[in-house]
Amino acid sequence: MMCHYWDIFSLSPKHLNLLLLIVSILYSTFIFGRELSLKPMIANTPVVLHSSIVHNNDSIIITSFKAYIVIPTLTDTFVHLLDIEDNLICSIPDDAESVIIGIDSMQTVKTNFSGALDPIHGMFWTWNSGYINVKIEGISQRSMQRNHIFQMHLGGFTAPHQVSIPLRIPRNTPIKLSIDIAPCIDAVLSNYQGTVMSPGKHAHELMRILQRSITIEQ
Amino acid sequence: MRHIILISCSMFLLMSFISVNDEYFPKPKYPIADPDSPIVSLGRELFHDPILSKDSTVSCASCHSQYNAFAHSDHALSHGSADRIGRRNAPSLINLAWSESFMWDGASFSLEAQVLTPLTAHHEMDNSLDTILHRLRNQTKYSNLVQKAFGESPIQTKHVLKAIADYESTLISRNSRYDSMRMHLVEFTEQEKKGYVLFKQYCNRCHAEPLFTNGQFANNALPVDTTLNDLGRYAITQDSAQIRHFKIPTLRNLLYSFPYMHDGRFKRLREVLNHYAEGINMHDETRSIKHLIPLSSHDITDLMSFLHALTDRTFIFNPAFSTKQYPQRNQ
Ligand code: HEC
Ligand code: HEC
Repeated sequence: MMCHYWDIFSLSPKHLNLLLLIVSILYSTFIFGRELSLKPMIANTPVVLHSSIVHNNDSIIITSFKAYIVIPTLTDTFVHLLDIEDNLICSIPDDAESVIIGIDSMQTVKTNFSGALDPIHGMFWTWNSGYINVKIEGISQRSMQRNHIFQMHLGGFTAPHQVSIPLRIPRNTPIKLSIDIAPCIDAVLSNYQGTVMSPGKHAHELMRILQRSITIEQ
Repeated sequence: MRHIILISCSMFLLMSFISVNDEYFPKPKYPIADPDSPIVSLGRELFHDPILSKDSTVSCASCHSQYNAFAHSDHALSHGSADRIGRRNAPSLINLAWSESFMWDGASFSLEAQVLTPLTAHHEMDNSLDTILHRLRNQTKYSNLVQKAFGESPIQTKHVLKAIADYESTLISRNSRYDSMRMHLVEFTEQEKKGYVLFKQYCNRCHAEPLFTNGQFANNALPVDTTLNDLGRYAITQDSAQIRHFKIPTLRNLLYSFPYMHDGRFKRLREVLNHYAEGINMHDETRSIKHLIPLSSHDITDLMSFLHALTDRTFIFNPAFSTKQYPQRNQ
């Protein structure tokens, strides 16, 4: 009898690992069941950090791509800051039916300034408070700026220039958001000398262009 | 016996009268913190500590000094790190818990968010959050204070913002002659009464009692300073109707908070009143005051005496606001 009890408590490390694995798989499928990934593209070419892509007789290099992803569910709201320097993947709950690209007015006003929302990540405008929803920076021969750089810090949470992008997504399946950033880059270069760094009309227009360039792949 | 009942009855009546009339103050928008709480202690220390600026020379209190009602007295445009001159005059910090947007143009949406602006602005404290957190984490004083205040360490951005915002929420001024009058503890002099009537007629729609601001933005038609060309609220909203609209400032403790206006153009209160009486810029299309305000020189004197009644010495000299007179209690 004693031996019987003992058996239960004497799982070998191997068994323990197995058990942990099973528990974590169960946990992740039930709670954070699936992946959401962002796939920035320039026309049909996937963006790779610091490598040049030919587009419109121009060669474009992306040096930074960061975006906020907010997942509202019935019980909670999850906020992720995805950065091409790390990876552009986060876990989202199975039952989520929408995601928002960017920090909308409600989230901005109730921010607790911690985790993904900590201003230390350089995604909060201190002089014109609110979060940068999407940051895209790079180099293009078409840019008139010093060293041919272009910069888009797109955001804005107050009327009439609220610019976060709400998207409906299917349940229970991994989501891949493919974003063609070429039209947006073309617009900032031809209309705004390569820089938009504050909320307002220009950021609004660029976010709308970005919104039209998103396709949801399952 | 009859007397005692009579006296206690009238006392009771008087007390209830007072407490009812105390309600002339609206509910705050930001919860007011307990001045004795460890979070406020931390905030008070941070507010007065130059460690927050890049070259460790400037603290919040350098530009917002208690003896100037937390404004900056000697400069029209405030000075920051390495003596860089800013674009605007430092406003007084009074009853901020009732405010919903901060800065002359309302660029900040909360008391906590506002703290980030001076910390990282080039012409103010010119620092980065990384450096600030790093410095604070290396000081045992702050490790202890943060542990006490939040029960966790190391210090993070959110702690700095919350502590300073909580401290600022305690900067409450409601103990002026005007407040005593509202609570029926004193009666205004004839001159103050006349000034009060004029005030209600011409000023109250913007500088609304009892906070002496309605929290909105307006253009009080100052002649345009072309060297600064400050477009105010328009820079934030890009709404052309709001060109040169600025946050309507409180009028409490004006005697201490000179110079006046977003660019500190007026040193004396009388100059401000002369502006409303004869200086309104009639060419400014976006102005919120259509005509000169008809104030005789007698009226101006009466208005001045009313504005003086908004002075609250217990605010200016409250030891609880200062680190000097309120040494770190819990250490
Ligand atoms: C170099 C001077 C300077 C320093 C240092 C400084 N401020 Fe200010 N402060 C200003 C000026 C100028 C403004 C108005 C800015 C504007 O409207 O653009 C201001 C505005 C404010 C406001 C808005 C008040 C209102 O009614 O809208 C608050 C709150 C404030 N400061 C708090 C702080 C805190 C907290 C610190 C320290 C972390 C600080 N300040 C450091 C100069 C300074
Ligand atoms: C249409 C709204 C409006 C009216 C009416 C108005 N003001 Fe103002 N007042 C403002 C605004 C806006 C400012 C800040 C302007 C700036 O800095 O550019 C201001 C600034 C002031 C200041 C400077 C305060 C400081 O801390 O810098 C004083 C004093 C003042 N007003 C007194 C008065 C008096 C007295 C009256 C009535 C005779 C009056 N105001 C009527 C909107 C108004």
